[in-house]
Amino acid sequence: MLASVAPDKSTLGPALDAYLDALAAALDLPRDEWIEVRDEIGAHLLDLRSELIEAGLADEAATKEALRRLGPPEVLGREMTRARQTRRALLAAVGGATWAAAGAAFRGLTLGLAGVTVVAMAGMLVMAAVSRLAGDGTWTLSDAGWFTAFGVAAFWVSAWLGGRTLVSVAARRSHRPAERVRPWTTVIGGTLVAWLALVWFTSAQNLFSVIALALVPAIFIAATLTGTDRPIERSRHARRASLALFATVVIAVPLLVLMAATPVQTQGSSLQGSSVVRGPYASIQELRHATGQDLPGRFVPDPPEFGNIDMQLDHGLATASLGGVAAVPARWRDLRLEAWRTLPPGSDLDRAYPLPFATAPMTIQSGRLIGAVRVDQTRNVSEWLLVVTGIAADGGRDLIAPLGGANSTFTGSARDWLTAP
Amino acid sequence: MFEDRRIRAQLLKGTLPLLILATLRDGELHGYHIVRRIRERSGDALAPSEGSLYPTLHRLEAEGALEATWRDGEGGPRRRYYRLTRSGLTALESAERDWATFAGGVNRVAFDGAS
Repeated sequence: MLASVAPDKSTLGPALDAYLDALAAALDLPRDEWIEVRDEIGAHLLDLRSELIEAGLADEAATKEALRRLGPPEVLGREMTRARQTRRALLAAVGGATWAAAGAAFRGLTLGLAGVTVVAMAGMLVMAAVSRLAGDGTWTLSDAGWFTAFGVAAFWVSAWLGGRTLVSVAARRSHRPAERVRPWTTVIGGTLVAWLALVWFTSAQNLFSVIALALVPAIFIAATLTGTDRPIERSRHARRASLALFATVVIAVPLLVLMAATPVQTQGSSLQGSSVVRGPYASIQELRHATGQDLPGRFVPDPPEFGNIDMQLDHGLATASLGGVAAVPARWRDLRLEAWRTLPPGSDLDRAYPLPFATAPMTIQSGRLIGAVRVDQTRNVSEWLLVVTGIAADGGRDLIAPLGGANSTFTGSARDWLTAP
Repeated sequence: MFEDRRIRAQLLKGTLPLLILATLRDGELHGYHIVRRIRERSGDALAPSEGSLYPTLHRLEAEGALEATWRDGEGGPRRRYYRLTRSGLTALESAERDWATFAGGVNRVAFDGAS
């Protein structure tokens, strides 16, 4: 876009300047466009006045005649605005602005992820240094919601660039000033971004990740409300910084993958994140000991001897399958798999919660007692324990068998987290 | 007399897009030169109003019939030059056919009928 080179005001004179100012005020166009219109009409007026002077008119009379031929500036401004703001331009603006904003959002996301990766690497180096200096310590982050909260920072960059680009392109393509397109871009774009961030996007959640996600539409709205109808141009410094970020990530990602794939020697049994590993407990007494003996319900003094117990945790669904259950139906009905909160480390029950946070019926299929319960749909649950319960002949619910526990994090959208129990 | 001028102005306004497209067939021009070229070619019979010229130029540009480029003037302000696009050339050919049909019809009614 060429910079405005307005006609030299000293040659235009007050009458022409006043006309052009009135014309500019009547134009409902983006700033760059009304500057162009003003320049174009100004040049025309100069040519016309010169022609009239050459034809013998006095300077003042020539100016008056030139202005008369162009007509009232308000009418000309209205007609020029109408000529540019066509339906075709509006349709092109909708398509073009959506495409451009999506592209800018993608670039912002890439840039944001690169930035987050660099910060994460710096954080890991600091943690490693602190661990080395402070002794043989380890760092664990059992609540995966923190990873979401940190990663969502990339969405902020995406939302900001997307919002600014949306307003800029929509205004210029539709030939409307930014003030005219801001309400639409804010409401429609903000609703879409809010839906994407708070409903569509699914991940491990905690309070901080939900706050981080709620900031995404807020940042988008701030970007549209402050967006202008000027073209968005990236400075040389911004381009260099982006390139440096990408280069860092290109080098860092293979290193991180290499580090992640390197086996780590640990004491005791190794932990696998996707399966239930602790337990099952050998006896009720063992469970009582582990849980502080405060698990509600009645402990069965003579629990059945179950065969092999298979437990799995897959994407938040904990399944239990117990063999050797022939005697179970005769003693209990309404068999249930229950998930209880426990406190890390170990598996002491969390005394703040007197009820299981999730339950599911268990059924006997092919000689095995099978049930599955979701453990990733309740807020503030990280460590938990699974038990099998059933209602005895006297109507009381017995704790038949403790199984084992693991950790997991609430998984879902921010809306799911907000509406979850 | 006043009524004559109004009819003339309306006729001219209706044919202004055709006149602009036809004037630009030979090459690019800025607004002031377009007016002069129309006036010269018509032997001063047609003098389009500048107030109508620029909205029409911008409308034709928005429709894709014209392309505009800024060029620095020689010692003066920069000027916006217009040139025909491929779509503009098609529009011109179509407008010429329409005008020939229209003018032929008017001539037959107005002059052949009178004779």
